[in-house]
Amino acid sequence: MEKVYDVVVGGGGVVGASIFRELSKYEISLLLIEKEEDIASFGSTIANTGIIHGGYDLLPNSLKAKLNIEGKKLWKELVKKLNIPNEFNGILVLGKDDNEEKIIYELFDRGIKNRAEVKILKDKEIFELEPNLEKDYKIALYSDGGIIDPFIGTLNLVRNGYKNGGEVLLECEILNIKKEKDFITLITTKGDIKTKFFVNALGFFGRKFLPDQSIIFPRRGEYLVTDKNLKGLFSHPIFGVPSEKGKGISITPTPHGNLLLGPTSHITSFYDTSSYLSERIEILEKVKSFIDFDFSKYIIRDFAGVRASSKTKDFIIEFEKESNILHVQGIDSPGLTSAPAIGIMVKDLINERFCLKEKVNFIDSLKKDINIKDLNKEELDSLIKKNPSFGEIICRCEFISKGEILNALKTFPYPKNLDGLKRRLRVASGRCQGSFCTIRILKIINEELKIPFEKINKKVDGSNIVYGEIE
Amino acid sequence: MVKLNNFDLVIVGGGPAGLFLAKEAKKKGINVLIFDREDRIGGILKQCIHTGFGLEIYGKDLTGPEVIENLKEEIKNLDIPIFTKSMCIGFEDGKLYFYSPKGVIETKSDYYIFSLGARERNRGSVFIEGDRPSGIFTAGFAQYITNILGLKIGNKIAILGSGDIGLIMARRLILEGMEVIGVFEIMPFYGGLPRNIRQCLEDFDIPLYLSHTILKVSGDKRLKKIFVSEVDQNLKPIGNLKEFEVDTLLLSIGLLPEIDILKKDSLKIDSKTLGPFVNQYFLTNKEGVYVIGNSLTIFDLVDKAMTSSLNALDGILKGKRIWNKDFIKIKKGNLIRNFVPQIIERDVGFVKIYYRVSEPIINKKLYLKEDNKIIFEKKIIAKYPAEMDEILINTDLIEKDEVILEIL
Repeated sequence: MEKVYDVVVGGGGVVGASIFRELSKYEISLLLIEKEEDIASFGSTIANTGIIHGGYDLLPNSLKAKLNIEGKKLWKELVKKLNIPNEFNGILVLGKDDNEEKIIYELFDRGIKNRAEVKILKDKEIFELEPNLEKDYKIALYSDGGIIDPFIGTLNLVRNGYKNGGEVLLECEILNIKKEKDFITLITTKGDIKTKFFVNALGFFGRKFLPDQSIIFPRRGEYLVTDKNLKGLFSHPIFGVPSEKGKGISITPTPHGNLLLGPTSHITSFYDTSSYLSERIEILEKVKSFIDFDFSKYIIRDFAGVRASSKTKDFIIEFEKESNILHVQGIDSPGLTSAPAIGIMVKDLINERFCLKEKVNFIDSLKKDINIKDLNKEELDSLIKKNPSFGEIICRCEFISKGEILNALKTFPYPKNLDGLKRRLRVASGRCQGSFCTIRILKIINEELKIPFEKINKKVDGSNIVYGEIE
Repeated sequence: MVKLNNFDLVIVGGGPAGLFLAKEAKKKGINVLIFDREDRIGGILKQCIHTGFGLEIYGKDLTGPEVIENLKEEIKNLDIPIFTKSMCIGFEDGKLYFYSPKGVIETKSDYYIFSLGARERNRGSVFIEGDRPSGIFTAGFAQYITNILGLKIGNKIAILGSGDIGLIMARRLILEGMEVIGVFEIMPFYGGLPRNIRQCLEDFDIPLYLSHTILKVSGDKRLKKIFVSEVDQNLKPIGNLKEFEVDTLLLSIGLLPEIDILKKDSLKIDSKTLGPFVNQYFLTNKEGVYVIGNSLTIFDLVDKAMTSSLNALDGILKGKRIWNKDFIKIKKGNLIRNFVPQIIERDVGFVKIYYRVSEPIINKKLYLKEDNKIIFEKKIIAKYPAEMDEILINTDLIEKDEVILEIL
C-alpha cells in the first residue's frame, strides 16, 4: 500500500511555510511541496517589502483585519525563536493637507476597531521620529508594526517544521489533482502523491485549482533597492495615505540597512516580473514627496513580483465543497503579516475534520547560525582559531566569511545556486552586486561540492554562469 | 588577537601601487608591512595578461603578471612582511583591524596608506529594463573567468561601454574563439584609450556603435536578447529598437575608486573623482591616512598609478600627518572632468596635477588661473577623456586661496 500523507501543503512561500510549521506541532504525516528548486525563490514572498503591518487600514470584521492583528503578534515571537532579522520600530502613514488628515483620522478609527495599536502624531512629533522627512507633513498615523527579512522568515519556518518531522519536497510541481474516495491524489512532476488533506497555498499558481479561477487576478509590483550608504536616512517604513490600489509606494528601511523604494501596483495580464523604466520613474517621483533627494545614484538593483489578488478583496481560506482540499488563495497584502495566523486558522479548519494530537516533543526554536557580524573581535578571533574559514572574508560588501558559506551549503533546505546563497547570506547583494565575490563563491562550490563550474547556476537550470573550459 | 604596533607604515592593498610604494619606502628605511585581501598579491594586474604595462618604470612593454613578478623580485630581499587573505574592516579607536584565517589582526601606526584599487560599475549603475537572467557580467569579472580560471564566459557576446577593460576583453574573447557582436557606447566618443580602439576593435573588425545604448534585455534563465537604441545628443533614445541575440553582455561602464572602508571615518570625498580629497602628498583629511592608486582616482596607466604614489612617500618622509591649515583649493573649470590633488600647500615649489578632460578636446588651451592672473598655461592639441594628463605648476606664484583649472 502506497503512503498516504495526512496533510500535504502545496507552496513553499511564507504562507505554505507557516502552515507547514504550525502542522508540524501535531502527530501527523506532513509534506511540503514546492515547484521551484528552493523555497520562497520565485513568488510573492521574495518580492515583498517585508513589512509586518499594523492592521489599521483593513475593513473591520474582514479576515484580513483579524489575521493581520494576530499574525503581527505571532511574528513578534517568531523572530526571536527562529532568529529572523527584524526591526519592530513602528510604521508611519503621513499626511500633508486637510483631505489626507481626514483619511488619517479614518484610518485611526479603523485601527481602533481592528484593535491595532495606533496613535496620531502631529508636526514636531513626526520630525522627532524622522528628521529627514520633508517639512510639509503635518500629521501621521503611527502603528506598532515592523520589518522582517521575508526570505529568512520563510526559510526558518520551513527549517523548524522539518526539524519537527515534516518532509519537504522541492522541484515538485502539481500538474493535476484527483479526488478519490478516501484521499486525494496529486499528480506531480515527481510522481503521484496521495494525501488525506491538501492545502493549496500555491500563490498565484494555485488559482488553476480553484472551482472559479477568475476570482484571482495578478497584480505586479516593482521595487528599487538602495545601497547601505543611505542607512539611517529613515528609521521607519513611511507611507502616504492609501488609495484604492493599496497602501502605495513607501520608503522602507530593511533590517540589513538598505532602503526599499516601492512597490508600484499594476494589474497585469501574465506573471510578469521584469522591470520597466516607467515604473522606476514612478517610484522615484513618488518618493520625492517624502524627501527631496536624488536616490538614483544609490540604487543597486531593482526587482518585481506578482501577487495574487482576489476579487472578493479578502483572503480566501476555505475547504472546497465536499472535499478535503483547503484553498488558501488571494493572499495579497497583508499576506506576510498574516501568514502565521493563517497557519493556525488552517490547523483549526483541519482539526474540525481530523483530530490533531499535539506532539509532546515539539521544538519551537532554531539554533542560531554563526554570523560573524554578531561577534566582537575577541569572540571572532577565538572562533577563527578553531575554524580558520570564518576569518576568510568572501563578500566584501556584506562581510560574509567562507565559514558561513560552507555552513549554508550544508544546511537543509540546501541552496542549489548562487541566488539561493544570496537569499540566505546576502552574499553578492551589496554595492558591487557580486562582481568581487561571485568568483570566490564559484570556487568554493566547485571545491566543496565538486560541482563543475559550468553546472553552477545563477538561479534555475539553464542559468549557468560559464560554459566549461576554453578549448 | 595578533597586535602589530611596531611598524612605521601600514599599507592596505598589495596591488601595483601598494607594492611599488612599499618597496620605495623600505629603501628609505621606513619599516613597512603590507596587507592584501586575496591569497596572492598583485591586485587586478594578475588577470591582465595583455601587454601595455611597465613602459615608464621598466622601459619595456610587459604583461600585468610580468610587472607583478618584477615587483615581487624587487621586494623579495627587502624583508617586508606581507599578510595575504587579510580583509581590512576599518578603523576603530585609532586602530586599524583586519580579519584573516589566522585571526583578527590589530595594527597601530603613524602612517597608513590605502591602495585598494577600484570597483567596476555594474547593472545597478545603469538602468536596463527587462528580465534578470544570468549572462550579464562586468568586464573585469569576465577577464578573471577567462584569464585565471580558463573558462568560457559565453558564446555570443555584446559589450556595453567602450572602457578599456571592455575593449581588451573584446579582443581576448575573439582570440579564444568566441563571437563579439559589437561594443555599444552611449556617448558620441569612445571611453577607452585610442590605442585600444585600434588594437582591440579595428584590428579585429569588431563594430563600435557610438551614440548607442542597451535599453532592455530578455531571457528567463540565461540572457537571450538585447535591445539597442541610438541616442540623440541629450542621450535620449531615438528611432526603433534593434534586437541582437546574445547569451552574454559585458559591462565596461567605468570604475569607481574603492574607498568604502574609510567612509565611516568622515573622509572628505570628491564628487568628481569619487575618491578622497587629498593634498599634493595624497594625504586625506583623516590623520595619517594617505590614499594612492585607483582608490584615489582612476588612472589611465598602471605605471602612473605606481609612480604617482611617490607623492605619498614624500609626505611621509616629511612627517606630514595632517593638512596645513592654510592651503590653496583648486576649482574645477570648463571642460575638466576631474583632477587630483584637490588642495595644495602654499609656497612649496612645483607640484604635479593629474587631470582628465570631460570631452574630446582639439586645439584648445589649458589654464590654471587665480582670478584673471594666469599661473600656468599649456596648449592641448588633442586629448580624450580616457587619457589622464599631468601638469607641473609652481605654487610660489599663487597668492589667493583658490585657483581654477579650465580649458578655453
